[in-house]
Amino acid sequence: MIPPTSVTDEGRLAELEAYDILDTPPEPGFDEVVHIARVLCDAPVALVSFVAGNRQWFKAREGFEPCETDLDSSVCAHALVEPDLLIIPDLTKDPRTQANPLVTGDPHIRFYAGAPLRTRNGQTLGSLCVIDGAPRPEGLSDKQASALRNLAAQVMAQMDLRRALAERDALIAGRADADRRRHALLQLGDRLRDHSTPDAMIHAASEIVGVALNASRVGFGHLDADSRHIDIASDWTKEGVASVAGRHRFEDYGDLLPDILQGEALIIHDVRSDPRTAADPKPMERLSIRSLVNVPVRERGRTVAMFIVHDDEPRKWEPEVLAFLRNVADRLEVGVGRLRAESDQRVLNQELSHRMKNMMSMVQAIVTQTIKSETSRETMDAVLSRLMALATAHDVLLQEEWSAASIGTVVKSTLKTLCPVSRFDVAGEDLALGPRATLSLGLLLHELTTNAMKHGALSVEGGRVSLSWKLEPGDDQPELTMLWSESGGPEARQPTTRGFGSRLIRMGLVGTGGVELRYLPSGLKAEFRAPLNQVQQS
Amino acid sequence: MTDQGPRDRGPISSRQVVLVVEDEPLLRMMAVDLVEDAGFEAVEAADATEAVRILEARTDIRIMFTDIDMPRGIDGLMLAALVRRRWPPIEIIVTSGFRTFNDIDLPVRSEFFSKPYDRAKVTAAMKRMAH
Repeated sequence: MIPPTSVTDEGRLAELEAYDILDTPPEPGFDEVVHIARVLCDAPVALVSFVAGNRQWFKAREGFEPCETDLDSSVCAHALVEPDLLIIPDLTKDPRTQANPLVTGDPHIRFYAGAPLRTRNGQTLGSLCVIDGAPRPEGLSDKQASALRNLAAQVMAQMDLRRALAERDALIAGRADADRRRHALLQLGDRLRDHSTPDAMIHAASEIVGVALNASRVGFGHLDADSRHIDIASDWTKEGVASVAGRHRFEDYGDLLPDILQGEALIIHDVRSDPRTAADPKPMERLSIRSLVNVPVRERGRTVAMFIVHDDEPRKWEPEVLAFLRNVADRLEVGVGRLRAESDQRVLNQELSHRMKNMMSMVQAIVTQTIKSETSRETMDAVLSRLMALATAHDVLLQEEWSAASIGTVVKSTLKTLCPVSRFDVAGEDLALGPRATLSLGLLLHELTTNAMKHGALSVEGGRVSLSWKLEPGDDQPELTMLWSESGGPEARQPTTRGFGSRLIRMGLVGTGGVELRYLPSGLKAEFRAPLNQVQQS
Repeated sequence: MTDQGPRDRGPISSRQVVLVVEDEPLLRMMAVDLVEDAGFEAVEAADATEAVRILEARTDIRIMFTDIDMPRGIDGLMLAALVRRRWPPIEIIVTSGFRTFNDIDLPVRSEFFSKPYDRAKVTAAMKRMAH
């Protein structure tokens, strides 16, 4: 007889599906229940049977060989509609079962007693049943019937426990996935800061995402002007998966263009079933793509690039994963934008520097032409030399993007334009100078060096200059102290006149003094002090 | 070429000749000054095209002192490469406010000075080359 229609009830089947019990291996909790039922009812067969849409499947069984049967052979299917136990004393006499193949043929079952396996929502998933090869006109005793009911409740308790454990495991796994994604984002931030080319940034992001999502391939591609092609410069792939770097035409892979043109993320869980690719999934599968996500990167309302994730297995892309990918694509976009801004800034700095140097050249030319005939050679050289010192300090600043210059670089660049550096003993830890201190230190060192070359240690062979600096604790903050010490030259004498040069020297490191000059028989010793915040002020 | 070509500009001096190529008149004036102060004779060109015309017309140029960044036609670097190829004996000094020594590709036997240049060092280089 045809099983009752409740067998195929969608709500019932959905609930059975949610327990995720079909085709799972035997478990002791169920086996023990079946054993107790068989012993209590003194029957050769006991089963925990679940009735699916097209078969009945046994989670636990004793005295019965097959692990499932079709529904024609199912007695349990009839138990679904019973409010309580279904007891059939002689299966050959009951219209529902007399044509059942298990009754008419092997193993010739005759007696059936089943307790419904009912969920808290009132859906019956199957039954806990005992079966005998001989009819039992008296059915079950009251005690046996009661025990069978209680054991069926035990089966359902077991089922609920099982599901709760599975949900907890999924939650833990989900949290681990979330942790991995959060870690990946942190890592991404660090790596993006470290890299200085867009390609390196893209590669780092691809690898981080690929590892975090356990994907098979991750890459980044730029779209051409009419968005029909994508150029993938490089991609990260897991071991054994080939790169897809190169140019690809969207139309070759399915009906993908509409989503891409609209700027939507393209999400395909399985290329074989997705309506956009199902007609011919082979081009995708040839590239080992079973599922994919393409996150668009938009610029002024147009998709200009896409962040691409592939998997060689069908994959349900969870909303959290998509949000993660969106986040990565955004960060990548910001990172690449920062590089572009820096590069623009560099170009601007170069241009500024170019104009500044040309301006200095013009000043040099005007000064030369103006005072050539009216002044001594010596004065003109002094003027031009100071201009050169200023230009050199500017040059050092430019190399450091105008913001700061290393004190060591300023010192070496200034000295070497005037005199062989081998005449100097330079020592001091590296320190960043602000733009103002860079220029004033350049001029100061220029005056000290030219003076030494004229009257001091550098005017005689074998004379040397020691130049050292260090940070010292000051009144409320550290002070930069610089020591200029000449030796091996003539005795130092205080200049009788106060020219521009000596005034430059007395202005010190930052133009506000802090200078102590000692004219000793061994040569000039000069000490310069300035608070660190003034030295580094921009 | 007109009758007033450089070849006809009077007798060839016994002093060695330096070709100054610079588009900016003030800078050219200063460069010519520097060349003459160093004891050479200076010939001026305002761009590479004029420089090539002079080089084709005269055989007594010993050193070319050229700016890199010039409008109109080829720049000073291309000019330097051309001179090295067509007039191998000529010594070359290039100068620029835009480039640094690291990012330019100089021909062999040439020297670079960043603008603004140190007059004494350029003078010394010229004297060394003419020696």
